[in-house]
Amino acid sequence: MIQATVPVVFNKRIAKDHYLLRLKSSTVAKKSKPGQFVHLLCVEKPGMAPLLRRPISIFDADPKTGTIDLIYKVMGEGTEVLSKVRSGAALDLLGPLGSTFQIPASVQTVYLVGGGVGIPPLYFLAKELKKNHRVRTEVFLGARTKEWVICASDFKKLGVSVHTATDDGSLGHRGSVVDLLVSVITRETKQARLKEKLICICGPTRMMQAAAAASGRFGIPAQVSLEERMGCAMGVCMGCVVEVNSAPAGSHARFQRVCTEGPVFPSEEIVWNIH
Amino acid sequence: MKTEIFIGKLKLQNPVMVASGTFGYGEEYNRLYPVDRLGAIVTKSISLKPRSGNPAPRIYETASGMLNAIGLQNVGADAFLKEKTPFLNSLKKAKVIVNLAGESIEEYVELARRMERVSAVDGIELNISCPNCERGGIEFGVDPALTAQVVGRVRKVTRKPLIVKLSPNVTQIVTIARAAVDVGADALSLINTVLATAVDIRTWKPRIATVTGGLSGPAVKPIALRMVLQVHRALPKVPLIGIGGVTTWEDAAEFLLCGASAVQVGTANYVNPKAPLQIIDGLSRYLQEKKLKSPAELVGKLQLPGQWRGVPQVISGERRKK
Repeated sequence: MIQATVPVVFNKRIAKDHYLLRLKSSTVAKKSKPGQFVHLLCVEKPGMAPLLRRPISIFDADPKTGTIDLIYKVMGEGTEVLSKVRSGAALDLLGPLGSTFQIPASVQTVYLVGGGVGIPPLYFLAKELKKNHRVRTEVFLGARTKEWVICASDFKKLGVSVHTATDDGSLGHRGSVVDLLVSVITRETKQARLKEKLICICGPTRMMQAAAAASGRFGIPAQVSLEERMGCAMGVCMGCVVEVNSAPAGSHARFQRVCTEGPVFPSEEIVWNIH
Repeated sequence: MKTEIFIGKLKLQNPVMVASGTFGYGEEYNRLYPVDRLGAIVTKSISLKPRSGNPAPRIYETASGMLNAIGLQNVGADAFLKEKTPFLNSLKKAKVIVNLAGESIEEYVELARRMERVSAVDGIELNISCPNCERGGIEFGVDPALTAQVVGRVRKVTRKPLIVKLSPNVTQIVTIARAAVDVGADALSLINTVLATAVDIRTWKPRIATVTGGLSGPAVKPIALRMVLQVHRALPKVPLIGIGGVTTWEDAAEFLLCGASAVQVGTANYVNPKAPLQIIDGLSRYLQEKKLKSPAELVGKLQLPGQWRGVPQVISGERRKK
């Protein structure tokens, strides 16, 4: 993990409200693993609005070119400022940070379930999985409408099969991406070899909760990548916590840090709390 | 030029400390820079028993500031002593101040007693000002009689330098400051966070699970400066540590001019992890430019207008000389 001011290679709009930001940092590019994020300062002068850094998941990292790619959606003040950064500028970054997706050696099929701007870190994972020819990867992408189903072509280029769902039916299945996941798993899991399967999830909380519940019904292990407002991202402020049921209530480990123990957690540990 | 400064009998290599709760136990930021360069590290609040803290969401960004309601989540005194002191002990130059948070006077006393023989601990900061706990914390820091009781009892069990961290959530800060000093506090640190809230107009719900939290960051700096000025004028001999939105060396210089002998960097650590180092270096350059021999020569040197009679009496709690 480093803190450095790194050059912006480009920062371009790839879909409605979504941007692809490429940064040059050979250290971060070498060290990054799927599931991790960087904490970006989105202002020129510290202390000016917006005050805090913004955690953004890593979409891709290329140790050869020494670059990392981030995809973010303009959600508020921080990402709005970020969207205006031009190539040639420099950004202050802290990273790579957080836990990574863990793929046990026994796993042969990985279902990636992404919603909206939760999709990008799953691409990084799919790319890593592709290096291991033994693992079959199926991707399920969901969003409110087709303009927000991002990265579908990137997954296709990797050669993984992509299933899409939109709330308004403008692309793929009309309805929830979790329903789509359930129908595919139901079809495939007749001769259930559950330990050979894994579900990796990243997206809106409600979607992750539903996908985690579905994984529980099938008995397939799942990992979720969570998002929380963050202060330090260094593990000191205890601001970005999630409640877990693996520690007893009242224990100091009952609330774990999304920045340090997370963002990737085993789904059965999470006490889902929509706020 | 020397950069050292004394907080009572505690000698700091420079006047820049890091604030409790924003720096863990030192090890985390040591991954980014040698924290031994700091004047002092103030640890995350330590309670007698481990604490799980408040439900999420716990933080929310506001204009030039942030709200937090962590609720003192920490590993507790036993784990602190076992797991966190080896690193702190390895520091050669930076002083280590443990911040203690009790739910009762007995707990504060017990905590101080347990730190007394710990060589890694150079001083104690009593947190009588946490705005996010049900019991203890701010309950003591807003009442002069309770402040005197808890500080007096802790004073009896420790010879280590005793700093009392004050809450800004009072009408008369000087009354509380005096209560702490009268029973033996060696120094005062101020301010803790300002009790505040924020609202989500989409859901009509508070942004923080516990509804209210503590406001920190540049937004509170002017309040902190005013309180440091007030306490320094009332108690000019008491060493003060200024806290509240210190982000740059210029901020630190403002606090020193108002009467602080040192500052603590808090929220700025999250924004710019190397802020404390930049403040140390910036302050040092400033002293050189001003041809000052030490930071002490800045302390309390604010040039006040001759006819200024202090803040309004109801706030100052001080009788004016006629």
